[in-house]
Amino acid sequence: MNVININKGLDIPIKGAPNDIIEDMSNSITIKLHPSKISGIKPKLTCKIDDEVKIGTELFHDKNDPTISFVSNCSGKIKNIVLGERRALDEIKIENDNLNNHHKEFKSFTSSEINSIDKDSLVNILKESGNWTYIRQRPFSKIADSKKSPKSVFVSCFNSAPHALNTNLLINDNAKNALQTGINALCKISGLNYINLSIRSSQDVNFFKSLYNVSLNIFNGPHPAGNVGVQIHKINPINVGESVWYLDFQDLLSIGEFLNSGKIINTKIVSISGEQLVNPTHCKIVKGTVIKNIIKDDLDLNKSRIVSGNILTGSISNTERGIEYYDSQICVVPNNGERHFLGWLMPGFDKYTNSNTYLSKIFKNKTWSLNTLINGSYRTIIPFGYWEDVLPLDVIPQYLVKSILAEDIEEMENLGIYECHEEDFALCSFVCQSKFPVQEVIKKGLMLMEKEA
Amino acid sequence: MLRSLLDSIKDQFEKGGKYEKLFPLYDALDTFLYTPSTVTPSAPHVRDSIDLKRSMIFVVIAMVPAILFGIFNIGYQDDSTRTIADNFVFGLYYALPIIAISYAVGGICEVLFAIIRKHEVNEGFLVTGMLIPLTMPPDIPLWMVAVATAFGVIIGKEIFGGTGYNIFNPALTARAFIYFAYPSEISGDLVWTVDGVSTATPLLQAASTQGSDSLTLLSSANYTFEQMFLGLIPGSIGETSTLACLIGAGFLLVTKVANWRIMLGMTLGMIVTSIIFMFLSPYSTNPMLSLPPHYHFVMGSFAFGMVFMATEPVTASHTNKGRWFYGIIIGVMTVIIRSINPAYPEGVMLAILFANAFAPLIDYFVLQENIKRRLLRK
Repeated sequence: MNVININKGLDIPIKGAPNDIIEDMSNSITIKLHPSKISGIKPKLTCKIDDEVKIGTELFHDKNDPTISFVSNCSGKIKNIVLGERRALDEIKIENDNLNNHHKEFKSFTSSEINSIDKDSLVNILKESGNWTYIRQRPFSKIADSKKSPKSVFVSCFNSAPHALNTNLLINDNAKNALQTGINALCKISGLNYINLSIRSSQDVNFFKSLYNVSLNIFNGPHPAGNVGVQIHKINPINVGESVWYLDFQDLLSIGEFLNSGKIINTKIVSISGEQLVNPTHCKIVKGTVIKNIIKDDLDLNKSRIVSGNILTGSISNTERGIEYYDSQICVVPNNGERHFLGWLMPGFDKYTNSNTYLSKIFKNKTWSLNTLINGSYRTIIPFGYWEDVLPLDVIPQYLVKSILAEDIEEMENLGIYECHEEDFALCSFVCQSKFPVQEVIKKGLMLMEKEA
Repeated sequence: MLRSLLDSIKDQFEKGGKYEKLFPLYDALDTFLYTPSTVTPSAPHVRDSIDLKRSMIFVVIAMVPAILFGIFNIGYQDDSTRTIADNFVFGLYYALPIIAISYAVGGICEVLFAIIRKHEVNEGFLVTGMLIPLTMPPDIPLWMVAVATAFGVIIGKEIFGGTGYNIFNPALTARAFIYFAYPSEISGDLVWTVDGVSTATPLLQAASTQGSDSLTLLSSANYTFEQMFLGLIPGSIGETSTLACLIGAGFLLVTKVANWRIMLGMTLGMIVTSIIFMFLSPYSTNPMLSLPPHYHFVMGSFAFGMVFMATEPVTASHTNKGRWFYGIIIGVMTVIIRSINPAYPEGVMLAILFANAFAPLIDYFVLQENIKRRLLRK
């Protein structure tokens, strides 16, 4: 068991943290999928409007690998399909009839039976049931390639992002069996003897210690300690030409439960947070539920921004959209920032900063109201060294960013672009005094590399 | 009311408006008066409260002790029997025009370039505009300040693309320009105090007689360590008081605006080199070799250069490891230039410019090390 202490990073103390209660909202009517937002695939529609679907009916698949199915998480009727620019598959809207026993049947396994079935049939079951889509690979964060074996498999068992899902809520005795089945299945399909689980020392260490076929790593420290990219970097960094598989803890659990029961797990737990919410909490929803069915507060939508995902890396959404495919969090961010007179000169008791340039810094243990203002103006990069303070990777961000802007493929590779994912650089954008979009540049760099490869 | 006035004239400065070309000027004024209204276009959806205006204004605030002391010292060097207030008023008479000229000329250059190149007016000039006067002797002709500032801003910064792209520190470029263009007016030999009587600075005094000892030479001219630490000595406006610079350093370090690695590296480089020179001094007639490190620290513009010039983030190394080497190089070079170069006893300015030129090379080696480590772990 490795213990790794992360010193660089930042836990942003924002108001509106979710409580640890799980509200059941799994009976919502409208489910929406947004295939064009899923990175790394070319969606090909396999259903049409007015089709009746069951839980597990294929809705679309990846054109590059038609065996990778995306399935319906509810039974009901397809109400609408929206195509966007260049016929991109923007939205599939399904009306949920809440007949949860109306689902496609699969064979069930115990955790030890998994060890004895052959790899290809297990891969096929996962692909057919849509569960394969939860297994992704780095670099480039796309769905794992079943034809190639990865160097290792990583699962982060905790989230460190602001207001992220508290994974401890998912851990109980029933979960253990499912988890072990999921782990055995991952070992089987990856051809590896063990997978890497990363936990915090504050979690139930004995629970995780009792699992087999795992290598346990304890990560302590501020965000992004919970990011799988940081964990891969510290334990088994990706070199040129290698790939590492990873998946969310919750997805690993649902794969395990699916294999145990033969029934597709169509629900997930998500956190909802934000200071404008009356009751920021956790809730159980059908995957893809539209946000207005989850957040029932009477929000002034002109003065708030709905984000699917966390505030550092999530995408701008709205109440009519479904929660994005891989997200397990919805945040509401105030969008009503005011302009302050001579703000650069004021003591700033109410302005949160990680630097020491506002007097707010004297209040420890306080939570802050943050809004969508960038709190400054876009400027050229002035290397004060703030990026490095929140980046726990052994990469040199200034020069990596410059090599990306110059589109110098060789230099990007040398400086470690394969180890990077934009989410690990979100804090760099957050703390930057020049408001430089570090995260977006890293994303652009990765896209360039992928095109080149 | 001010807000609504600004909003009402905004469209005249926007694209298609009457004064479209002057938008950078409007934008500078608008964001100077009110925090900008820009919202995050994508993730991260919230941002830290710090911005470049805040960082830059903090450097200026850090300079305040040096500015105030410098103004007082102009009067004190002229006539040490006056009251503090009188010295201050006397000093203001000389310092204010220099500061005003520097900001006016530099500001005009900055705005002109912003308009022509269609970029924003950058706050970096808030700092440069104050640094330039502080490196000037109080009796410098004002036209020279104007020429130097224009040179510093245009050649030192704008032709490279503006703040963030410059290779050399603009304020030091301005200072070096005067030094090389008008050596008879502002040579390092003598500092011209305001009444036209020239006095040798402590650095020159310490280097004055071959075969002698620097500390003896200093005390023969009545320069004590305390005096030099406090700054009651002739010199450029802002550089004389080590104490004032250290107060500024404390402020910059606590607020994390300046990088401590550079300051510490520079001090260490200076200490080690001067100690080596002290061991060598018995074998040479050069009096400067015998100058101990703590004297190096308080003499000339070492402290001023360390706190305000070397820490300038754009022209320093951009990697944390590089910042150490960058600081060390400045410290070492300062002592070498001061001690071994007979023509010019003040080495900090040249040492920093030298290190500015080498900063990219230092970073190159840090990068190569990082790349090598990555290749090795396969």
